[in-house]
Amino acid sequence: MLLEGKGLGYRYDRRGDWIFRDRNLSVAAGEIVGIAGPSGCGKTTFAKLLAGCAIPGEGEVLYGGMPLAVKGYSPVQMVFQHPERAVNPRWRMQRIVAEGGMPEPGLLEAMGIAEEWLGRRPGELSGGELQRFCIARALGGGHKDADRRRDDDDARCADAGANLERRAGNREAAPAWPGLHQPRAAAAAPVVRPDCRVGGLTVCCLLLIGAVVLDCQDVVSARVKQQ
Amino acid sequence: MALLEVEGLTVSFRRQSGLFRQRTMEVIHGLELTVDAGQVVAVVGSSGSGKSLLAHAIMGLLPDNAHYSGSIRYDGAPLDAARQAALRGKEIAIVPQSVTYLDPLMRVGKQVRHAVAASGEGGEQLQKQVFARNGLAEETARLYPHELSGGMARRVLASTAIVSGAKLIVADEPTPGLNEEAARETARQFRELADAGCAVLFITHDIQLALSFADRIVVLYAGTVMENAAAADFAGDGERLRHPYTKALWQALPGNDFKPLGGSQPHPDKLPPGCLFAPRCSHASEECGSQRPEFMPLRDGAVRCFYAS
Repeated sequence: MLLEGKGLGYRYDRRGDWIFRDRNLSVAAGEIVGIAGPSGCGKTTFAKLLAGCAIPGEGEVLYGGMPLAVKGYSPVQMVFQHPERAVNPRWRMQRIVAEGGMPEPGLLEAMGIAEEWLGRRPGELSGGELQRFCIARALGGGHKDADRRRDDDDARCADAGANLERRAGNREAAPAWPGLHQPRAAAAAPVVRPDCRVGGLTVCCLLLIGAVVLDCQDVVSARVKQQ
Repeated sequence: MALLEVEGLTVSFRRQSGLFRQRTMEVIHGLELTVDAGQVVAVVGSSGSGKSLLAHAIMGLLPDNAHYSGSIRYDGAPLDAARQAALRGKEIAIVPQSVTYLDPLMRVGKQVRHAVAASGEGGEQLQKQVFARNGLAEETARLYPHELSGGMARRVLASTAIVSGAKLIVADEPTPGLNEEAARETARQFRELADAGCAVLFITHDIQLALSFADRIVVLYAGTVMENAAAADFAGDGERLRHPYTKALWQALPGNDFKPLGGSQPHPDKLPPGCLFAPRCSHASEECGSQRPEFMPLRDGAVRCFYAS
């Protein structure tokens, strides 16, 4: 399965300046792509386009060769930079995590999420705990359902399933481990492709895992999760 | 001289359970730390260990259903609710962890100037200086919070505390989302404030950044301080560190052994009867499983462990 952004451009206003133009990116199943750039250069906006959270001013986003669904569950999920701004503050965590479909058994536990937290509201959790929910939501069961609807290829489904399980089973490092922000180690991180460069300077900021877009600076911990 | 002294701080939350019953959940237990004027004290610990609650308790920003006991003293006198309200934004300032603390309806330049106004005049110039120093373009001042990127919002938040003229600054994770250079620049500014006589409590996940500029490191685990160490103790194999948890943290860094520690932090409802770290500790004995160690001074620091030497 391929996620492709073709000739993507974005501007806030129809007569305004372009934030960026003519950006291309493709991510294949099983591949991790890092996107780097200085703060404010458009990494988050680019990610939002890929995840269907914003509509490109020009260009198109294709998932498996088809345009992203406008309605319903998007097969491309995004994990936002500020978890407290990505959840409904009045909902309980149970409902928030279910937005991404029923989480597979064991996922919440593997994410270090205590069952008791499911009854709380976002304001009653710490920032790190909240982000774990956002990651769990992005990895939720909706993924598989959407894939099945879209594509009957059994082999591919099995592959996606294995990917999800691998991800779920291994996030030993979790955000719980401080000190994983170091670009030093990030230098050895995934594939950073020159053709997807949005800004100039190289700083690790954003990651695509299969069809999950992680908006973070923390490439290393994401990498640990993936292993 | 200690500008901030926290002793035996305990924070608990009342939660409704069922229609008529309430439960209390203790999330911070017997926490102790001091910050001297001229000092940067970094607080590290995994998520949910109580770092932000500590910051909010000091500033008097805990929610209504929270209850705290123990003593918080600022400049020699107890820091009660009335004094917190009087000093907040003037003598004590916070850099909140969440970017939602910015006023969504006010241009960010004005918000920073507002923070200066609390301490004196020359707001506009100070705001321009601090923006330039933090790599924020001059036009940024005219933007609203929703128009900022995550990293820019962080720098605006840090700017408000930097220009506030406060003597005690509590920075609650001011650097995630910033690239290494910007994070170091933020750290450098807090260091300069401390060198000019401020006391800085720097809450972070980034041990290496903390070590690069802090004087002392306070390690939190499950709501209490496990160790209070000098930054210089974090060296080599960690043989100068006092607590097994601190050692494990040190060895988990990518630059050291990158060796993860199994298990996870206990939930506040299911705290072990003895040492909070005992279930994950490789040196735990029977005593550790039944009795909770006191926080004891040791080698120019302090530790909560029976076997520290």
